[in-house]
Amino acid sequence: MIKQRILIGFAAVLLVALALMHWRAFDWAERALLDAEFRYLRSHYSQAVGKDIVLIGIDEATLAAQREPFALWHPYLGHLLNGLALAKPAVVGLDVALPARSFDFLIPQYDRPLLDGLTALHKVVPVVLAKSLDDRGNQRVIFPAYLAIAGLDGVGSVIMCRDPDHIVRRYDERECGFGETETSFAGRMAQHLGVQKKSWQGFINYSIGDAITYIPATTVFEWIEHNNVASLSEAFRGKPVMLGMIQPLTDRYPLPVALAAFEPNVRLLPGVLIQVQVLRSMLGPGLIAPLPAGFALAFAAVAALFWFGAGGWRKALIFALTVAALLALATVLLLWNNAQFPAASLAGVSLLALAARFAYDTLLKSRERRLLHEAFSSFVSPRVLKEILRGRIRPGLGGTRHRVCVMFCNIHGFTLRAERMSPEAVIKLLNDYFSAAVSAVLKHEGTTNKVSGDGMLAFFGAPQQLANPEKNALEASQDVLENLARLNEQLAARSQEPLTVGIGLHSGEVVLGQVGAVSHREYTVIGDVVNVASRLEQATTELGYPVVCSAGVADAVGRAGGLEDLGERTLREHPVLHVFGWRPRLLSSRAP
Amino acid sequence: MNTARLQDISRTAAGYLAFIFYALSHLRALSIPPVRSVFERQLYFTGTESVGLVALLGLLAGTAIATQTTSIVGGNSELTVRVLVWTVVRELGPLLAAIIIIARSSVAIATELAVMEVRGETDALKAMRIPPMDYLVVPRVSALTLSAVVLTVYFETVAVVGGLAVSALFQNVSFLTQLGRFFEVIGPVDIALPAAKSLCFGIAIAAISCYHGFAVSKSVTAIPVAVMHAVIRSLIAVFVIDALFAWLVYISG
Repeated sequence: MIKQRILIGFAAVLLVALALMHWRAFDWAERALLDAEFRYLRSHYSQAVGKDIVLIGIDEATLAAQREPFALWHPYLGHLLNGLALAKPAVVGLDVALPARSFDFLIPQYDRPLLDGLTALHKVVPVVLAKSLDDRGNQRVIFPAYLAIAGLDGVGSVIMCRDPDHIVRRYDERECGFGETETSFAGRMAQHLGVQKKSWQGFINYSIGDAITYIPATTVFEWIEHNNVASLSEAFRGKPVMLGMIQPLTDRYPLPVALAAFEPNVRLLPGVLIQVQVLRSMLGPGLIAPLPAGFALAFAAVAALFWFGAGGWRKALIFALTVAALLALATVLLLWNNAQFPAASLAGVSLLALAARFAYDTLLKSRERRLLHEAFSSFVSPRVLKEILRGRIRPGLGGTRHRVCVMFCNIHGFTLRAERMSPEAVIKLLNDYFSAAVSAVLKHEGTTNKVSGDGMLAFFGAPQQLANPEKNALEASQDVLENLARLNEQLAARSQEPLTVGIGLHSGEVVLGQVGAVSHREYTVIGDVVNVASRLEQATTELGYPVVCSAGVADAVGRAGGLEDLGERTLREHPVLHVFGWRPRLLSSRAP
Repeated sequence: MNTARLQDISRTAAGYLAFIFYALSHLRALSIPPVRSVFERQLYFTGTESVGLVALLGLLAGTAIATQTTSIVGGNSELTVRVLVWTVVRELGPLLAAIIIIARSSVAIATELAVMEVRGETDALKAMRIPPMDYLVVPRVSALTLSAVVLTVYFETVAVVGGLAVSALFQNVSFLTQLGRFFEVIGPVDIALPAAKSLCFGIAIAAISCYHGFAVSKSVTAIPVAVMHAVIRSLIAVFVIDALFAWLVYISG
């Protein structure tokens, strides 16, 4: 039955794990892991890229040098493009917001320099213009004349997919561009460089390439002004060139890594750096492909196996090793295969399985504790109960052998007396008597085991071990008589007859355990010792002592404390037994 | 005149003053290349291109006044020169230069700006965070003001020299003697006053023209109305300023 429950539990864990995988519940961890991998690989395994992209940055210094807003930069941009045409790069991508309209109304022929520059450049190399969004999220318009010069294959979208934490990691031309058929800016540049793909999808590989540097536009302007063709050629000839804005506040995106050489340790960087990295990925190993969903689910099913096996440091160690192995595997796959392995999700599923099993075990344990509590709360002292629940004392519910001292306590002539009383009064009297007796037993760390009629069975030395159970039993007997004396005083005050009891004590080995049907079980003591104790109790009337014990009990306390040797006696159904009688001294004035 | 009309006039006047204040306080914008380029174009159109017209009118006015005065008071008189200073230098020079500017540039500026406004081109500038006042008003006001001053000086020179020369040519008067007398008669006030007047005229004409150019509603039919307003109000402003200067000269003795 337990096996069946474990299997059902596994199925439940598996179902939950697959559901979580399906609804991408672990994606945040996956993203954090990917970022960590990128950072680790960048710092430990720098991977060079073959043909790196040259970035011309329009930075603060460039912008500050010119007083007109960027929208009126026609003369400078024209100048720059003319200069680039001299240098003959492989392809030029302009990731800047080109004027949305003609400015001829402001100054006649103002558009001219930019148109001329674009034309001159396009004659020599392919040019790609960036289609982007404005501040309000609408598609930014480009003056049609510029688009016409760049041609149909000279425009691409620079819109990027942002993850829920706003970081750009994914790159998906279909999902994040302007439409399904739209090619991205980087995709167009790659296409002009001979790397073509129907639709680019995957993660941007942030681990490849050095930190990105840029040539300030002012420097390029200077080269062009001094007609420094040598410097221009050295910097740009045959290379992919990107022009972009490097501004401190606007158009910045959070990146998983500090990608800029000019701003080390900064991860909020200009959007053009992402374009550079995308193009690096495309020209190099390609975008990072995630593991197919089917594989991921299969791995998750394996990870859910952590449900099996009992908890403990060994399982924890296996779990830790598994997680470490998963992380290492993910990093290695990223480095060698350019693939994303969902290590975080699998670690999550493993942890889920582990935690579920732990919760299940804890639940079982608490149920067991409840059962123990139910079984012992009325028999043993609260301190002992606590010890049992903590697991320091093992009562051995399945059955264990114990050496105990058994106490049997009975009221003399109670049956006759009860016949003359009303039922309510009988119950009241019994309750008073038992509370007096039980409290005495519990006080001396005994276990009251059974109460039937006017008799009580208790034992000492189980479930918690005692150094000298016989001594405890004798002391408890004394207290029972003491309590009874007090009860008798009360009875006398109500002018009722006093109660007299007999106590039989015998020690020896017994078997203890839960006995009964599943629905009703009792902690039961089994053994001849119990019968002997019962017989000794019956002998109290005949012998005239309130407490009668066997020689074993008396020997355990050195026959001291006023125990009187009554010699060998024959008990009913039993061989001869050496017994002792005891009339304990009571603190109260009246003897029972 | 009801209160609504009065309110309208005061609002318009406040608008002119605001334009003037903006232009004067944003002269730094002239260092921006495109703004300077607009400024230069305006200077060329308003100043350089009207040099011939100003010269012709100056010559004719100078000649008329010089010859008529000579014919009345005789050739060898200081009075001819004095009359020239009073009429041409103090009054006619700034006034005629201003009227030429109104006729040419006030119309042109008002039309140009009104068309831009109607076509939404000024809104496009604003959308691109290009301040239209900096790029359209500042260069026009400064170019017009500079042109007004320069054209006035030019007009006066042509009128005086040309008038005296024609008079000398036909009325048996010594040109150099009269010119010498002219320089004796003319004082610093006679130079400062027309300069100050033409400066004010230039600023007023430019601000009024720009204001009405921008003030059109987005409809083509509003353009001629705006142009008409620009011309009429500029004329009124010029004469009011002229009167103010006359009054200032009168009270200052």
